[in-house]
Amino acid sequence: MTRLPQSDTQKIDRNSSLSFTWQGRSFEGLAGDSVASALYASGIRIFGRSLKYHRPRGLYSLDGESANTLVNINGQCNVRSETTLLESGVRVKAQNYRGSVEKDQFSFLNLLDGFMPAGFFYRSLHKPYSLWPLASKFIRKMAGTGVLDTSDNWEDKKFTEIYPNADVCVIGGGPAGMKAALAAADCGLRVILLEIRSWLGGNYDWRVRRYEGESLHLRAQKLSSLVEAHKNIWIFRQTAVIDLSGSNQVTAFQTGSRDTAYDQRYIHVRPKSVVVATGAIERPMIFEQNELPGIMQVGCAWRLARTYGIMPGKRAVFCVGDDLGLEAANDLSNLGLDVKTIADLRTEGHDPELVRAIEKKGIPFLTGTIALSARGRKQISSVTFSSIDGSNPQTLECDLLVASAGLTPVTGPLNAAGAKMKFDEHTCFFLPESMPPKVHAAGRIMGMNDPVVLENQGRLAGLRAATDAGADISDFDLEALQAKITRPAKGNKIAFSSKLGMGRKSFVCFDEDGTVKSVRQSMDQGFDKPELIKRFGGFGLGPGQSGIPGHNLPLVMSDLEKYSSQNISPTNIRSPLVPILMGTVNGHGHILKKYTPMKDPQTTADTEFIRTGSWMRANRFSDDLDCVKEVRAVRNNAAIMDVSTLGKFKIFGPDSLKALQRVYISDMGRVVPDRLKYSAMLNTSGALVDDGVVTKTGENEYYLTTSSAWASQAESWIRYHTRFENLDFHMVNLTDTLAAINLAGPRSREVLNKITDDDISDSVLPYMGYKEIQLGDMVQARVLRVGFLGELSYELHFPASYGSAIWERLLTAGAGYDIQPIGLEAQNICRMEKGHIIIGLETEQNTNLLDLGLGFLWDQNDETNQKTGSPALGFSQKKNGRTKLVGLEINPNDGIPGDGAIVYQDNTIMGHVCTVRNSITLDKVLAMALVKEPLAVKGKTIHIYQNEGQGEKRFTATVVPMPFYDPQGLRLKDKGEA
Amino acid sequence: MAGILRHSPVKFDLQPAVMEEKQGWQVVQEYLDQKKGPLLIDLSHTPSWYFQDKDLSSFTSLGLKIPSQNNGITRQGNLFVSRMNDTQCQVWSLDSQVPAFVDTHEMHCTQITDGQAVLGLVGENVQGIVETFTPQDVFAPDSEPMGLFQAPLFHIPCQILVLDRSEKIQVILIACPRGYGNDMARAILKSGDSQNLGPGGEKDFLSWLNNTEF
Repeated sequence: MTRLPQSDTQKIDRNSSLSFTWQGRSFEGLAGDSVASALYASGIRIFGRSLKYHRPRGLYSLDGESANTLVNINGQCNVRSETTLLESGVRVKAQNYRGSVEKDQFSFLNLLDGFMPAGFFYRSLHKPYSLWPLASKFIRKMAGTGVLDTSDNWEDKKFTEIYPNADVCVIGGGPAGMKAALAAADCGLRVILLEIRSWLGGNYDWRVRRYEGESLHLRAQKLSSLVEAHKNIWIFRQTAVIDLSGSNQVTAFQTGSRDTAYDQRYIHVRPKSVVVATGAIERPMIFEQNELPGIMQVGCAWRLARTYGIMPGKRAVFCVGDDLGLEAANDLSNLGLDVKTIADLRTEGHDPELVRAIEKKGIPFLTGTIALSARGRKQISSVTFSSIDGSNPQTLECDLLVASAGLTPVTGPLNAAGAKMKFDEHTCFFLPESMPPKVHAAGRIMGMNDPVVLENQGRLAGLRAATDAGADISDFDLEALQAKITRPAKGNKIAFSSKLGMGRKSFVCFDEDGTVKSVRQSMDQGFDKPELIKRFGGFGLGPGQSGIPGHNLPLVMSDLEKYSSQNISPTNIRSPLVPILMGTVNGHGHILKKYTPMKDPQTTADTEFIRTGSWMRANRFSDDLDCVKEVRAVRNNAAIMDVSTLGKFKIFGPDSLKALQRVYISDMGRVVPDRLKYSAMLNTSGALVDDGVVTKTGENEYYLTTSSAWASQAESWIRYHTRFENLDFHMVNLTDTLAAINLAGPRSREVLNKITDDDISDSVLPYMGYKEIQLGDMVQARVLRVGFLGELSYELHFPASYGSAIWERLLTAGAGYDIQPIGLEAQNICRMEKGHIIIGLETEQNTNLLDLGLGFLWDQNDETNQKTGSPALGFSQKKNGRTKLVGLEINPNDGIPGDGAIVYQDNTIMGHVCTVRNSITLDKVLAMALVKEPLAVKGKTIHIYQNEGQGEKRFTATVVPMPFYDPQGLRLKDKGEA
Repeated sequence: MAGILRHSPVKFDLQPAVMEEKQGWQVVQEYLDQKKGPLLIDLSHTPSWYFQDKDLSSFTSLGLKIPSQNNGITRQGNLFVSRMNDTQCQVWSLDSQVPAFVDTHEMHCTQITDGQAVLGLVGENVQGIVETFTPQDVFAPDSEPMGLFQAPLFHIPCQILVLDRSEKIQVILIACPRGYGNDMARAILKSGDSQNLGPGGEKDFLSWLNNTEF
């Protein structure tokens, strides 16, 4: 197709042609074209098929307000061709057809609308119920838009994110938005301007009509230059706002190109105030077959010509509802379009200057006239229009019908921000009853159309937003500015002729083939609110996000039921206001993992790291699931384990003991230097939340450890439970500061002696002892002689930066003792053999100390009774029937159940297995289980059931005493040679 | 055990060109093929201490200049003090020297050098880089010349110390829990990739430190 002569409204570069393919055929477009404009210029009229009836669909709005022009580009489905810039070499395909898009084999569905009434998806094919899974599968296959490519053949997309800071954010780069941005920026504020199109200018951009001696598109360029040159304004073009939520949080995404560092980037702005100047879109006129290819909105036809240099048709009829329609008809006629007739549904209020120009051209101009129906198979061939009441029908042949019932504001951001919308009788717009705090609106969104008023209102909104952002605007006379904002022109709420008939193919929603007939059917079913009909009949739920049906649905309902205007309510528009790629929401997709200081020396080809909470930890150092080598090292020689993830805290200050007394269940007054006290923290229900050791390191100073899981919460827990007492204590979380290695095994003392000159003999450092020693010349370490694995053990805590070095020194020192690094799994086996619990594995949400057999930790002599959890524990002590932790020996012939397997008796669940492992040390399958009290009897046979999708399995086990290993604790208390 | 080396949690994928040992740390001064800037610099060896007391002004007797407001930062030579809350401040020795008044045996003072990964962002348009990973208004024009932000980055609790907001060069420090250091550095580099951010050695940071007036 030959393009129109060059003009300064056009955005295309005639010297730069871009090749692309459509349905496998090669075409050429121009730089600056959207994919849709390039297709239209190439003669393509059918872009795809509709969701339900497989009707042919084509270009309609140019702003991506419906699913009509969704296409597949380079394998990605559902791309908006109207708003996607053409790039060289792109492969474009149509969607939702069988055979060819021109001759869709499923187009017979267009005749079967009688079988698909509103809500049929909820009502039909559900009886018998067994039919529905098949039926729904069939429906899904027949309907839909694009098909997601689930293969891995996707082109890599670049997603980024940005959090630009601003005082004022202006949404919309039309005249009102630009004036608002300039006003706020002139106050010295930082302004962000978000514009969905690739250029600023809004409705001025393509209009050549003169106002105050200047054509509007030149005015747009002038304003645009001012905005671009302003150092306080940061412009984001091709940026769609997806939400404006509380506290003025604006989220959006920007579409990039091959030349940008992103394909899409997520934008998050939290300005002090917001101006919404999103303008208006056109409200579709509703008539039979109102979506045939060749029927398009005023702005679409006009911008095809003015922006892209494409004549939208040859023989055109205009059916419009406002002066913009007349202006467009007049302008397109000037450009050479054969305008056969202009029908305006208004009977009064026309701009006389425009009417004179039209009449001067001899174009028939009919008022009070509306389209009744269009005809054509794949494209419009004629239109019938009549008076609103259906009288005086006449039919004209045409290949282009420019149809629009008027404008409707783009209120998505206001709606999302919580503004309550109400129908305004004068403008016939849904306007905000009141604005959310620090949010202002200006421009066509408020019904304004006069350029002077638009700009003044934008400026006023910008100044008000500046005030909200803290600027001093006392020099400005806001009242004088307000006085210049005259009342907007009267609008109309007519959407269709009263002689429309049933409206069987009169589409209210293009995305889901929702018709006037569907609205009637929904109302007949008793749905009387747009919000309900929206869901039942499927209006505005598609990718257009209510763009096409948004305001027409309530107006159609009002017309059908003769509601008063007071009772017309719009549907809510929710975020995302524009569909966004999931990848864009994910942004950079950073997932940060936490590594211990000994990660590097532990990393070998055989090491298995697993994520536990925020940390990555070594689970095994071989592929042996039983970790035989690791467990044997613990039991027979020496082993080292990275336990840096343990919580490590310093607490000090005159009231530090009071704080400890509050949160620990034991008497912490008995904590003394050089000795460790094992205790636990409970919640107010008495349930165990953490356990660890505490020692006294100075006057009013303590050092304590917590479980890895509790490390991030311990400080806030202690502060929370002491919050009313104004206690004078301080805490330092040393978890990351100190690396920790558990050196365990009967030869561990010998190994440690090789890297320290300090005395670590049992007399100086006995079981549950604490000492600060020096490793070599440089490294100060704390040694905690604990025995979690059931052997002689030393937990070394030292500055994290020495982690790798100390790990390697220990391996070297232990080489003669067959020292072995061990991971979480070996630890789990060893501690289970010893009957030591891990909170979260051997506890549930309300498992308390008594359930676990740890009642000896409880200081029952505490006179204040203010220990957290103590009162609840007292209550629990008198209660029977609780769950108890028991040891189990699994029948050797039954195999090994999984952790979490159910314990049952007489078909009643009586507990569960917490941890179960094959103990190579004891040559038995052993478990720890939480069971109901009646089963917690030594020698009792219990039954275990497991079904994890691999078939039912049953096991028998016997309750046996714990600990399974070294019940007298002789090994962990090892005194060494005298 | 003499000569035992300390290791930073952060590792860049560049070959060091110049190294210097500082208190057991092998500190990269410059990398081969280092970009001109802006740079992300591993400063995890920077000695730092918490000072805690219900009356922070008591530390002025040690010679410490405590910021009067929470989230304020003061500078005395190459020693910076950031105030985290009413009862806690952090002292940073950015030239790696240990000041005489630091006594880690005194319970109010806790060395936490090893607990944090510290990353310096130095160069032009650091603001543009910061905006790619945090909504914090770090470079608000009406803010104090230096300031502390305590906020999550990539969901990880961090401290951001803004040390220089000038147009010519901007300098911030990001301190996160040590265990996240390497992933944090990678995430920042990835976020700042479009702004030409690359890894750098300590030399560029020290150059700024030693050539700025206060």
